[in-house]
Amino acid sequence: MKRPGLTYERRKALTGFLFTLPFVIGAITFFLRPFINTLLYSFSTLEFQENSVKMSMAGFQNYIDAFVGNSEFLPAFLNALTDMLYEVPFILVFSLGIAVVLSSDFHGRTFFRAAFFLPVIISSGQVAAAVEGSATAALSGDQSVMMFQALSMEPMLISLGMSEGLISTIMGVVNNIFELTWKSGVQILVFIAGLKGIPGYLYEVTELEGANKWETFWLVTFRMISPMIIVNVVYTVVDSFSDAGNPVMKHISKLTQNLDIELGSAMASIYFITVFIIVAFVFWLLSRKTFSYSE
Amino acid sequence: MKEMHRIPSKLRFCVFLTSSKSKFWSARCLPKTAQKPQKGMVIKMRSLLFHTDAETRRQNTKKRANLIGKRLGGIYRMLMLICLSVVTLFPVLYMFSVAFRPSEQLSDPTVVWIPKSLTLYNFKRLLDVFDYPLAMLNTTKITLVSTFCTLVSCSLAGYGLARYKFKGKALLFGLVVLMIIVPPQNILISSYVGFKYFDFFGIGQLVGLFTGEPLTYSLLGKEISMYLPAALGAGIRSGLFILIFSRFFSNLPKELEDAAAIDGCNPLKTYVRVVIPAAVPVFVIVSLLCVVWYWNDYYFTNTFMRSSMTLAGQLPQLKAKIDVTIHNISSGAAIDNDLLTALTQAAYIIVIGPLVILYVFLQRYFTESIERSGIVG
Repeated sequence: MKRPGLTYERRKALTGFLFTLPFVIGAITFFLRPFINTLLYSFSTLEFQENSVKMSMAGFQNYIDAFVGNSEFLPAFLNALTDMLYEVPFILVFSLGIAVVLSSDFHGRTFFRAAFFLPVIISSGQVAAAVEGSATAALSGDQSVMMFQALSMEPMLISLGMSEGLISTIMGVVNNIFELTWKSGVQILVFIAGLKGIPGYLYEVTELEGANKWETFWLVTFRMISPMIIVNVVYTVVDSFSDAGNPVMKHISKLTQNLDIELGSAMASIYFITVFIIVAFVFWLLSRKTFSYSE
Repeated sequence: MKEMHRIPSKLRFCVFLTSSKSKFWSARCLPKTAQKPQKGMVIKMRSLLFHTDAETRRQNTKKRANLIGKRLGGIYRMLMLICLSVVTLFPVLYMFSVAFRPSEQLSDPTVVWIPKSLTLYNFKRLLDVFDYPLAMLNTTKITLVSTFCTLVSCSLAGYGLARYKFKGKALLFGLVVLMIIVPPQNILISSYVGFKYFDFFGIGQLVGLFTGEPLTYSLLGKEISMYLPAALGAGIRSGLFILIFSRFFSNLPKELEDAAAIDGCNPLKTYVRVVIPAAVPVFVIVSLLCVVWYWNDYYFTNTFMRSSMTLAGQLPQLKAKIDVTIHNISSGAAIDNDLLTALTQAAYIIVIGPLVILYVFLQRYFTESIERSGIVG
């Protein structure tokens, strides 16, 4: 192991680098190169030749095409954004609530944990997309309306005198509730891990000081869990964007199958940059307010 | 204990104050669940505060009200959990309910959840279109090998990032975060090209400088197109795994490794002998997530290995296959939608079945590991 001519620090640095070397090679070959290529494709026109691809610069033409020339992209894109706007808060609140309940002690905890983690096991692929689809279909009255009478809710709301727009929003959430609960598996998991990390003496202090449960939640639990909220917001945003059932993703993969690679890449880049901006913004917004031991 | 409850809450705090002077009575072990305070002390306190009967009674009613409130809260929590877990379990229940019933009962209004009769017919028909043993074997092989490769590469990278200082480390962290944020589907096209004209990490290009033609090799359609990225830390969600590993390793006490180094272990040996045994929980979590994600993956397997048969990879084409094989669509026969639904649900069961069984057995260990690993440290 001894290398003449290397100081202790340099040897350590070299060891560290060697540990990460496989990842560096892999990330450059299988991630960074395709990533940069995608950006390049989006600025060029491709011509397929027998054994290679010829690229020529096209400036922002593909981007203009994506927004102006393509009638499907913009609505799908906006749709994905608005979906995200109500999905992310719902998933966060839901998973935090479930995590708080599941991390306390009560009878049957094991069973409920298993039930709520089950989506983590299943919800990452075709089955999940299909399962959500079938559940939503069953709910919205495709075949088995009798299983859950969600349809009878609408007349009820109308008879209560609610406005049309409000009813459609409520029904939208109700009909998507499967999808949303199924998307919260990993978030529940992260929150539980975070809750377990809160030192118990903080709760004892609040109890001695006479705080009630509600105050304890906001003063201790919420404050201490805030770093995990960032993690979960980022995860949820990325997850909802990279979901293969997402309309934009569907559109991009359809373009790709038709070998319309430049336009697909341009859309992918727009999409990716948007995600990046949102994530960066969320990160910036929340990281100033979250708790951390070190700073 | 009983006496402790009888003391008004204000006074309980006094007990705490006086008793906390002794070292054994730290704040940690006092309230509610605390051990019995020394009897003499309690009596002394009580005599200080003329404890009347009326006061005791009030305390008792308050206690009872608290107890009832607690019970009600428990019932409420239970109800809420049951309702919500029905929501999460609904698709699975639906799956089982549909897959095991004769398809005619799907449009029977008298049957909702519990079928009138059970049958395995759907599964038998499914095996006509689904080469289950082969697909199962393929999926298991790809999943296990990829998971192993991912574990090795990601844990090494995570360890390197967590423990060593070197130039460009911040850059590497940035790369990891970028890998998490960029959806892999977005760069799929050029990954595809990269796999088709794989140039051995640029060596092929160098050879091309001399021979005039770059040396390339198509990885498409071969299982190595799954293994190679996994082995080099760029497989499915590898970025996330690297982050989890590095978070965990940076929370491990350093002393063990120092001791091993002083005893003459080289860094790699230290890693294998000392660090890995200390990091079992995080390895459990990552390997389970990794198994799940590789098992359920259809996007990459279908893109990079069109011909190969995996369980999840066959699902997207299932409808078309059923139409052709069972419904004889070419002969113009009508499509039986109920049968299609039943077969699809049966297919989901056999695809996720092995995972669910694995999960049921490992469930306890899994959830415990999550708590111990401090994923998010």
